[in-house]
Amino acid sequence: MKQVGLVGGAMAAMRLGLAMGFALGLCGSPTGIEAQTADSLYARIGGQPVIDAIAADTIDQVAADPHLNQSFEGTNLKRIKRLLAEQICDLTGGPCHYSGDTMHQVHAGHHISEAEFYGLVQIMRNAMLAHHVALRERNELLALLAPMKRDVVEGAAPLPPGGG
Amino acid sequence: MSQRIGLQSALCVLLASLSCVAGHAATLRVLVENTKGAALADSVVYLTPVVPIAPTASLHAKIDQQHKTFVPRVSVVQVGTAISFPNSDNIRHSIYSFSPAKIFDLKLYSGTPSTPVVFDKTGVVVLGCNIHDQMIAWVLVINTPYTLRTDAEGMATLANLPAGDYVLRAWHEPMSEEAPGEPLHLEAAATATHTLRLDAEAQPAPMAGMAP
Repeated sequence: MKQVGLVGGAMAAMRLGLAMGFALGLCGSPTGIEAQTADSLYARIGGQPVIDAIAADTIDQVAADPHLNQSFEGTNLKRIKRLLAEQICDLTGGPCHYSGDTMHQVHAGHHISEAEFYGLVQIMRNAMLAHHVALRERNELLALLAPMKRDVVEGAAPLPPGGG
Repeated sequence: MSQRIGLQSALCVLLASLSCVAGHAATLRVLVENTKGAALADSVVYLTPVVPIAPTASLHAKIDQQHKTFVPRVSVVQVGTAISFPNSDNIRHSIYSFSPAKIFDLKLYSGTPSTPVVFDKTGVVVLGCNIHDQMIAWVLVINTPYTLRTDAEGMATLANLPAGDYVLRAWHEPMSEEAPGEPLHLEAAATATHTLRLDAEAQPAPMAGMAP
């Protein structure tokens, strides 16, 4: 039951984020084409220190959660945190170029479930809250991550558009 | 091959006072110990002829990835061997080595065959995985077919060796470099004994996945 609540809550957050993303014309910009200005999502989140902290907190908490951490067994967490931060920086218009593998390559064979995907989303949302990222920016970031679901979750259908 | 027989024939002529029968094999018994005198089981003993001979074994080998582990953990191959990394895991690996004998990195995506890596220099090659930092394997690249692993008592007996001049070495994990070689001369039809000391810890039991 807690699992369902978690999934439901994270899905709602993603749908809202996706809706805002569509409204703001952000979806479909996987390489972070916004100029690196004070208006970029990267800057509004708080730049690299906040992104690094969000990435580190997210991975630490996922790796400590027995419902979510199966695929992290034996992995180099420091490296994952570095690449996740790099990916978020790149996606949000920061001065990074994501150098890791594609989400499909990274997650192939790990049998990630929908519950695990949304579990990570919820943890990341909480990490953003803990680092005082405002609602608008939280939802914009979640909107950027939502399209990854089909590449992360095994046998996943893409996230339905959050128009409703 | 014919060059070696020719050389032996020449020696026979030069040392006419000795009965010199080409091909009477020598035997070498080697005991490998660590610096504290404890026997080192599963160490690699290898005897390299001073005059190099062409490789006699297959020049292909395989190091698999199974359950986030390299299998086998230790490979001994001759120079020029192409090693393939089939990745039996469903997940990807990103393997690499910084060892001077072979610096490389290779992404192994499940279901996508990768190009074999040719190990073209002698030495110790330590392999790791960028993603799964517990993964480790060693490749000992040697220039001789005369190699054996020591048994539980740290002993290896190399038989059917041509008489001649050699350099004897042993290796045991986690040595990142070859040991300095000990020159020796083997007499025909004789059994020699030698003890080598390595700066390595004795393992409690043979590691799973070691090649025979």
